[in-house]
Amino acid sequence: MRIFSHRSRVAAIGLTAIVLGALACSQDDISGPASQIGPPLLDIELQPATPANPSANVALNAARDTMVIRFANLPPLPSGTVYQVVLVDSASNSAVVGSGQLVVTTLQNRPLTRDSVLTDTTADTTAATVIDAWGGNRQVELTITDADIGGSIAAYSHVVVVATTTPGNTTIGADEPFGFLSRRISSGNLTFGTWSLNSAVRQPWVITGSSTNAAFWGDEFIANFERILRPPHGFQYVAWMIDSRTDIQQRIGGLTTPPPDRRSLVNADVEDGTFLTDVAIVEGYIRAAVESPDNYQRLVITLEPKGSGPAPRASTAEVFAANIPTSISSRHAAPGRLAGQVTGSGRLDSNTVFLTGRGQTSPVLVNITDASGKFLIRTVPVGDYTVNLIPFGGTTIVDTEDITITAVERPDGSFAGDSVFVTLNLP
Amino acid sequence: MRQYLIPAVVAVALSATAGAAQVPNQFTVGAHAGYTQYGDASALENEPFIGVDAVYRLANLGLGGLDVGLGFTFAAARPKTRGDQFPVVAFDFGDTTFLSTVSQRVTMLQYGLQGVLGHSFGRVRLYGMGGGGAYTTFLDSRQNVRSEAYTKPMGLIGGGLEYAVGRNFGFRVEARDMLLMDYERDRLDPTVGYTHDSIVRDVLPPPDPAKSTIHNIQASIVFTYVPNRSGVAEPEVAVP
Repeated sequence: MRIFSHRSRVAAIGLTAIVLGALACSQDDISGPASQIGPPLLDIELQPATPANPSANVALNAARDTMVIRFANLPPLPSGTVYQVVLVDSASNSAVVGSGQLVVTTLQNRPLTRDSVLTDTTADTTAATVIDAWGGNRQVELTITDADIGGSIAAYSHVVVVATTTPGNTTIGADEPFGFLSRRISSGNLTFGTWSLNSAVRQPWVITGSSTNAAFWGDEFIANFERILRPPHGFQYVAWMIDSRTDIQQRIGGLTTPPPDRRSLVNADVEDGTFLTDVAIVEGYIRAAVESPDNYQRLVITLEPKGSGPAPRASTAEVFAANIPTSISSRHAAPGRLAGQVTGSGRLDSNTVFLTGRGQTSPVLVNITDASGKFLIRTVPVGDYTVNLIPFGGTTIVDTEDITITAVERPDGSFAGDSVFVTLNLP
Repeated sequence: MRQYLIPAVVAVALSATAGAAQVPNQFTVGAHAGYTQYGDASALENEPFIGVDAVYRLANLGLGGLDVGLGFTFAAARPKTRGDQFPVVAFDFGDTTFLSTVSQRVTMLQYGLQGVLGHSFGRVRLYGMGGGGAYTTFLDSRQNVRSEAYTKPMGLIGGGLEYAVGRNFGFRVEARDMLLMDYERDRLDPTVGYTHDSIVRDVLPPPDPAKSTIHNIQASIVFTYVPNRSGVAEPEVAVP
């Protein structure tokens, strides 16, 4: 049975086509659908820092047979890396390791009371061919004599300091970078920067270029750099987060070339390749995971000696620095508090109790005990600490206790550190 | 949702009316409802399409039972561009920046001439087709703040199976490779240079390598209809 005529069917097809055509030509409700990618970027503005670069000074006696080199701000060394002094004659390309008597003076702050600090000084003297001491609290002095090197200091033209994983190596390529502190052999300060037999390759290091932008992105840190000088020989650029309240630091990672290659620039002091000119890194990029950035106060890009692993602490040779942005630091929990009791047979009052960051030595918070041996530190930022006890009149720590101030949620939804009680014992 | 609704409605509306076997010296009209899998380099998301074709079957040429036809083809689709193939856009609000991919919905029309070569086996007919023409892409006028369209050459090659349901209607299952030639992917980029993100420069993987010729697979169900079928002899198909 024929229900619809041929004309009706054609009309139905045409009508349907018109309706569908009109629908197809209509636009989306929201023109230009945009899809957000990940969490928002929280910007951080890295600015050129005021670096405490490694430095050294040479004192050469009149007879030119004894040389004293005093170092300061030697950056922390990765495992397997040491500093070494090399005496070089640039004319003959001969070199010798500058061995001698090494005196390392360590300055250590020790709180006497809540308001006063004593600096303890210890000096270690050794015969050394390498230097493995570092840190802003250490003064390093190396005395080199003709007898130490089995020859004449005056026979060499330059004194060069290298950061090396192969100590004893004195083979220097004609045009290769070699060493990060250098000077012609005479009294005066050494120059910080790459040295080479070829004077055209020598390059004093200063802060140049800029960080074009940087941000925290979820649990990552991202930064872009332009036209920064190649690092001095033996060094690399590395980002760190630092918290002076708890003396904790977190190593973020080193520089790479921009995406998509992201080739590591750990060897930017010596290698050739894209994004590298003779003197500069044209573009650099850091993208690395960070953990709890709200626990830190500053983010710094440092010059760090290269090695088989990361350096244990951030170098003071800061290149760029910025405070952690408020959008992140405001997440940090309010401080907790530490209460405690000193017990034992000795005098309970006026004992010094101080906190250091876990595994660190610098005091961050100090108080003294009352007549009953109790003490209270009211504002302790969230973090891991060691509580140290020095008895009244004493000079050494007699008891320690590791504590953790943990963030706990308050009824209003905010977070604050909890209260911790410890007991310390006098011997 | 509308993109899926359109071909479904078309299928329902046409299924009651269309379809036919090939008849010499007469047009066969086909209504397509299908899906396009765009080539990776096209930066387009896979989307449904609708279309029509009309093929005029030539007289039997004595090629061993092969039938030959010539006609035109037309199809329309509203694919959305893939935001991950274009620069990421940064919306900066003070110390906070939001990253987004941006897409746009374009209208793509394809049209041209095609030739068909087939062979019938009772109600079933196996056929191949090929042709060429052009495709016109209309960009989103609001997003680009202007009306912009451009036309480029196109090629078609494919084939399918046809089943004759009645005297003047039937359906086909067809697959074809739509070649978009002289393809300019960058013209589909809806973003503006100064908004491009320069912080997280590897937020997305690199886009697929660009190509000038894009292969796109179109699969469709085609409802065919032979107008004015009455009175025409049909020796190939036995009609109940």
